[in-house]
Amino acid sequence: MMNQWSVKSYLRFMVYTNAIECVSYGARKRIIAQCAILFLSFSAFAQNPISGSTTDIEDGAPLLGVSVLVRGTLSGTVTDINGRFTINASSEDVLLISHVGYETQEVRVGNQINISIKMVPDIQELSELIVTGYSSQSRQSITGSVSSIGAEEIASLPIMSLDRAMQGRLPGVYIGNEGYAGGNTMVRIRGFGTLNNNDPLFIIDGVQVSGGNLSSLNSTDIESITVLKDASSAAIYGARASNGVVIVTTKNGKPGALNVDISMSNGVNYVPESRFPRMLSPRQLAENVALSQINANLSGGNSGGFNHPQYGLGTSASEVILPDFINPQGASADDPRVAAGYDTNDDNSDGIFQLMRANKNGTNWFDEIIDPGYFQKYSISVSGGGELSRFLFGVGHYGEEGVIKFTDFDRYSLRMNSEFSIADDKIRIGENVSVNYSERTGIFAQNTLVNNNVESIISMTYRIPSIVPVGDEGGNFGGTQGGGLGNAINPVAHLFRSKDDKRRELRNLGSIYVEAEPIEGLVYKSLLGLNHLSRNITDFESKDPEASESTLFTTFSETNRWISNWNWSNTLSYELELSDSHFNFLIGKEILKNTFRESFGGRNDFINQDVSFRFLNVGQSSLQNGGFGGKNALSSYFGRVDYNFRNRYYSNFTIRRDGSSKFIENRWGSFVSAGFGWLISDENFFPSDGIISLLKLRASWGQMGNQNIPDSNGDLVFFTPDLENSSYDITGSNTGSLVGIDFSKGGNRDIRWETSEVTDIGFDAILFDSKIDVSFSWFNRKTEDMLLDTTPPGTGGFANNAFFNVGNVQNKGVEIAINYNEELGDLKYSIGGNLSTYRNEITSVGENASLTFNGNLARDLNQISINRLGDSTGSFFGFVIDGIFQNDSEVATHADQPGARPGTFRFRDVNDDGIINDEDRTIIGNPHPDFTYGINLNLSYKNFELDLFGQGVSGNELFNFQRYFTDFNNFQGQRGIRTLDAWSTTNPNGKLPLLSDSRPGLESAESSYYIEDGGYFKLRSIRLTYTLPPSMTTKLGVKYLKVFAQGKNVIVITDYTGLDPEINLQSFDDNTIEGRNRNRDIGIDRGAAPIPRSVIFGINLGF
Amino acid sequence: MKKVIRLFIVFNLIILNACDDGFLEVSPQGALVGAESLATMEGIDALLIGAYSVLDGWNGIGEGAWRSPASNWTYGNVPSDDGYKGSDQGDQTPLNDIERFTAIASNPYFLTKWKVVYDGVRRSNDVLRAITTARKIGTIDESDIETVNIREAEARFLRGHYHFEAKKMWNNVPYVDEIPLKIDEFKITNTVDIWPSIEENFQFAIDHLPETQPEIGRIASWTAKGLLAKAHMFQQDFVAAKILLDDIMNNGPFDLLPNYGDNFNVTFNNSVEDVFEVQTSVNDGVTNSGNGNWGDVINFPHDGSPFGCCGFNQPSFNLVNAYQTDPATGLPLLDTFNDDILTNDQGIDSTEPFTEYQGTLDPRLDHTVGRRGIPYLDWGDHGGRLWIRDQGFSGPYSPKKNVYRKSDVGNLTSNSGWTTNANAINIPLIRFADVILWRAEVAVEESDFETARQLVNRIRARARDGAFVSESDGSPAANYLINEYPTGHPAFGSLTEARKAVRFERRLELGMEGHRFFDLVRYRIAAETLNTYFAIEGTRNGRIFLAGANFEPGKHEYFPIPLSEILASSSNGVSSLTQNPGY
Repeated sequence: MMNQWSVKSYLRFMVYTNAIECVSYGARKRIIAQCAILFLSFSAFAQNPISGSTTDIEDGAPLLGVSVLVRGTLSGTVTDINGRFTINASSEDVLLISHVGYETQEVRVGNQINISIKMVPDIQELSELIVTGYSSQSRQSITGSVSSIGAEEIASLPIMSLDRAMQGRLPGVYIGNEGYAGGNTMVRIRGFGTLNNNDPLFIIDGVQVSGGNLSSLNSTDIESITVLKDASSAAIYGARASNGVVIVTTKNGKPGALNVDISMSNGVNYVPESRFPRMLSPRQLAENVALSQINANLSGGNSGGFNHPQYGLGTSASEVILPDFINPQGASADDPRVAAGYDTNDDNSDGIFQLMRANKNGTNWFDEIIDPGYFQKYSISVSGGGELSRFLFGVGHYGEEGVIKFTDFDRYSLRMNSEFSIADDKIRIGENVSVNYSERTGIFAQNTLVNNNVESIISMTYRIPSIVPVGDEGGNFGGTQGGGLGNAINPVAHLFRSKDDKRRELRNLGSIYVEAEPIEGLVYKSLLGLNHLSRNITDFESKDPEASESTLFTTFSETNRWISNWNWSNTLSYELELSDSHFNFLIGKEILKNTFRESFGGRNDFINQDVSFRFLNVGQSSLQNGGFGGKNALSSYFGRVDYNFRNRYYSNFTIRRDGSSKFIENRWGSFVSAGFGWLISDENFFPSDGIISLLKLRASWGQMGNQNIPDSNGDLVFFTPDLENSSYDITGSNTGSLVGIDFSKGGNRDIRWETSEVTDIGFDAILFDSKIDVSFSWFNRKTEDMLLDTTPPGTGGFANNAFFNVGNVQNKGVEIAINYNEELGDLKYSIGGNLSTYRNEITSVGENASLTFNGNLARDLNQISINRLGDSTGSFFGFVIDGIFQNDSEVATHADQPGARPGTFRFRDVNDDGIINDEDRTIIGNPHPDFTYGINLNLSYKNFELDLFGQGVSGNELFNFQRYFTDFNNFQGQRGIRTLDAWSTTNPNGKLPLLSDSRPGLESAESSYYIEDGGYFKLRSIRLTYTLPPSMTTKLGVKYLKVFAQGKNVIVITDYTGLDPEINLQSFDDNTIEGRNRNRDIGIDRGAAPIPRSVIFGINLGF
Repeated sequence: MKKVIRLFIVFNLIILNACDDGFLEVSPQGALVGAESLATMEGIDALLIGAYSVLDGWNGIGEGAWRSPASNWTYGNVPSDDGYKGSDQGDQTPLNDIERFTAIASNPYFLTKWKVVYDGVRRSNDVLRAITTARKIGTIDESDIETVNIREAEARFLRGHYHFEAKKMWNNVPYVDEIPLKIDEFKITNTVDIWPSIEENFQFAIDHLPETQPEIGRIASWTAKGLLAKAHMFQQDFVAAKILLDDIMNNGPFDLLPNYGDNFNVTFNNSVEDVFEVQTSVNDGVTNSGNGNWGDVINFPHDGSPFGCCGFNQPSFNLVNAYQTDPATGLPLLDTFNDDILTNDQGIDSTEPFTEYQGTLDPRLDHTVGRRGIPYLDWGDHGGRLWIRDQGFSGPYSPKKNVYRKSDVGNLTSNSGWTTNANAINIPLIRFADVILWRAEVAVEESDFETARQLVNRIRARARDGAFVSESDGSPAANYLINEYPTGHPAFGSLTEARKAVRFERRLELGMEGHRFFDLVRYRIAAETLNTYFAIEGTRNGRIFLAGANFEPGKHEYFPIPLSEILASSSNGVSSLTQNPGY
């Protein structure tokens, strides 16, 4: 329910403005305040009994339990079963009339003695104020693409992090979730605009929060989230706006009675077993290994057959024997060595051996690491206000056990928002302050990227053979120590040993402001914002003697990071009304500074594993430490003019000029935009046949910038003393090095902003007697002069690459949102849907058209993703496989392919030059979706309400990197069931090459074999709410009480064979302050934690 | 209205006119900017340490030190007949292709090696630039002038060395001096032969370096002479090489160590035999002992052994066979060494009985190769199959020269990192034995076979007279028999025979030290040697992964120029780098 119009409410609004003096669609707050002043001035008037009735505007039904309050007093009442009330009030009093599910109204008594009030259901309307850059605007006057969601919708989602509320709800907003407890979220607006950093700008209560993990903030505090997508709305943020702007506003109190709101929910997160990747049983794996050896004929000398440390010796795969014990080889149950059981938890002992019984039934490793986890969310807020002040005070707690064992996330938050009026309301001061402490526990607390990484815990779960037991006979962990089992680590052991690792974050985020209105319509506002983050990470690494490549010492490291960002903005706005013309002027100045420092230390050899013993001082050897930091500053001027004529023709113009410390020669950049709107349905010529009751056309154009690159790029060369990479033992001491200096980074004094030019055309319409509203936007976003660290010739020896302005990317797309509302007696329902597309293309890579930008390496596959002229960003790049060679003659007639023989993949000779080499790699997949969509259905019947919300992605491809381990003969280790369909002379239609230990290297090279359909549909939420009727709530002494049951992600439809398809966005690097978080590769499943499903029960109540 | 305008003006004056320029000047944090800040004695010294730091093949680009090891095991051993990739078939798969000569230009190994050697060049040039600037702006004290001259020569030596590494690998490579600064200026053509430039650097170093340096890790003039001689050998310029080799042998400070095996013992770092050696250090405060010999950390026996990782760089059957000696003469079996496979424990469990080969062997075998039943330094007997990651794939042997002793664990091995196998055994790049054997090669080419025989005998005598690998009771671990070539031996009777004998000796003496592939190319016998090797290893010796491998003469002598480099050095679609023939 966003971005929508409602003619019904528009009409109601018209009714309103006639009936009620004091509410206007303009700067509502100001006018309310004037009403209040009026009221205060004449409060001496005599009080008379006033009676009235409240009815629903739509069906005329009387409303029971409506609260009627004389403003500024404690005098109030509620309506009876006939919707009637009586109250004592003077003619100058204002009545506040409120009811759950309806908009609060303010009615001036005047000379009325019998007031008839038509209550309007609380849905968004034309006059709704949307928070935009440095101000608020009525939805009617917005000429660009702005989407928002309100508190109610956010509250209906059991989300951990506020940015996740946008997934599927807002057209054009793409969300990537990290599946683990407390994981990060990646937000992309209107596709991938650049090969540089794509993070949007987050403004929370006027404070810039660049990137970072927002999971430390309490989502219950949020009043609204607004996304500025086009230039006319976002360009006011100039140099930081090109990836879109997300404006988050937190709740504040409302004048009137004190409200206490409590919400509690509890639930269970889980991942169903049906999603676990399917693996070979121990016997199947043994046969696979034997066959690979037999086919390669290399078990020694000239003899065929196999010879494996675990599976024995033989000439056919059926002869494999599963051992009773995988370690030591040949051990049996009555082995005398069993007495000498080794305790892996005692770090002082030397590994002797472990008696590991083979798990002949097969360990389901995914089942071993994934377990349901309990979670809970509580929040309490107290809010209220009078004429001169309003406030909200809230506390919240969120606790989640991850579905990955031994991982947790906890958050405690505290909020204080208030506003005070002084000097006859000419000056308002206020603050929004939150203090948030969060703790991530377990393996994901570590500083390194532990998710979606080829060395991640998930990747290890794919790789460890199923014959390996979770535990050995002595009560220790089992592992791959036995030989012939590969080098994967026991993921359960690793998770268990990391269970006390912590990432603690204290985030203080807030702003204080003063707003003065010396002359009516002229408002000066000064806001000082601070975003401060302190982070402490403790990471303990134990010995893992059960692993084949075991580490036999303990390490503890501690990392501290301190981030301090502040911004100070001053704006002056003036609202001017000249007959049919309405003007709004805004000018402003803003400065901001970002600083961070990090230090870390580590030591080895902890004599005890006790958690309370984990301090750096306790470690005995290998003292290590380090530190680094960064700083940048921005200074800006901006202005905006909004003009509308007869509330029918709208326009706005913005300009912003930014200066950034990140640039030297081209420090300053200017960004302009313009937008136009036309309420064409207001024109006389517009047919009033009732089909289209409202139509607004809008168009906008403008420029925005992106300066999101690491600090200090201006100068030509930097030399950094570097312990690791530039020290040398010049004296030959063997244990001491002299620290040198090396060239660490190229520079470029000439770089300038990356600029996005966005054209946006759309319409908003209301059809069929307000039953349907539609919003449509077409956009063309062209990013030019991308700031890229091009890969320079290695011949230059550059350690870190310099940034250049290189290349353009274009994103074109459409966004549609449709909502349908209907009422059938007590049954009310609405269906909403939105659909977004974008087509992404790199339209220039600078002068050198052959330049490409590679994604990150994945293990030994060297270039999975490519960014090159004419293709989408992050396109998958590799060989095309045209089946499998059946016989020698097929090999002979095919192009010269290294290692080709019957049973190997047949690589396509793309360039038809008779040789298979690098030149034959081509685009093999596109990680971008054809479209994404969200659907919601809301049904209410009397006190019951049912919400369904689904979200999906279609047409994107994933690179399932895990196939490298599970489908090919890479590393000894577990294989997946697809290997059962390997080619052989008896299975000529097999999909995989002949199993063989003698395998040409190209076989598992990056190829079309890895590409899978990544589309999915997830039922994000299904929620049934029961609201207690007023008669009961009154008895209980509460204002409202709702109970709900909710399922999250309970239905997932996908063809993807990996753990979870929802990895289409990645690179969740929260070090954006250093300008990383690029998207040169996306959609590669390197082993991502799954997104859990949940069942939740909750209660919301208010006093 | 006027009042409004006035207020706007006041706002403009007060708020908007903040002082921006100072606010926006933010210096880089934790870094020095610009070459001038380092144009001092301290800066020159620090930059030069940075240039030395890349000698170990590890500059922190994070792509795996084994892709650019100082020991060159990935390029000198694996693609040669000395060794296999080792490990299991699926680990480090790009190396399978290097081994089989199926590697293509995008193989990530080549790119890392390229980046590392040219980073070394870059750092050397940064030293030279700082020196030039310092001299120009006069920041060098009178007393430091001579030191700076020496530093300049050291930097020139390093620049030559790094280019030499590139030359060996790719032949057609760009030469980078201290002139290029901007990225486009590094798009240098590789069609000009850089041998003259390499030699010029070494000659400068010879002319300006002292014979000894106060710090043992610093290059002295004798080292420069050694590397220049090596450059001549690579060009078959035997006349020029001879002068330098004679100078080194007659006037230099070097000698053979009495015991062959001591060359690979950390205690004998910087010994009298080391002409050019990379310094390594561990537990020096650098994360994961990054200054240890990281290029070789995966070249240790696998999980059943005390090392745990990762079984790479395994000696070949062919190499082991080469250490057989004639039971009558104690001389190598130059023509028949590979007729039979030396008895080994292939396919035999560690728990099953195994009797070692009883025939006569060159004692250097057991300093070079770890094999079952023979003491593996002070770790006890090599555990056989239990120690091998995948014997079915890569045979029964383990590398040995890079392996540390148990007695050095914790002190001279790393105490941190995912593997603690990084250790402080320096990496020999030129041993004095190298020099002697080059001189023998020169003698052969001059048809001075008697000199060649004597030089070879000097090598063999040391191997014979030094300590053998022995059991705990002091008895030899195997049936060692090695002798000098007697006067008039037919092995030194003709150019063909003498070449064979000297080259064979070089293989035995320097086995698994990263020279073999480059030597085969230098001798111009790579194709015949390796194709024969592939045929026999791939079938009779059971290394099926080598079956069908083919060395194509005219192509595989040099590796392909990394694809990324070709792309990165292109302007308007035209690359300044030309791919090597055949790729």
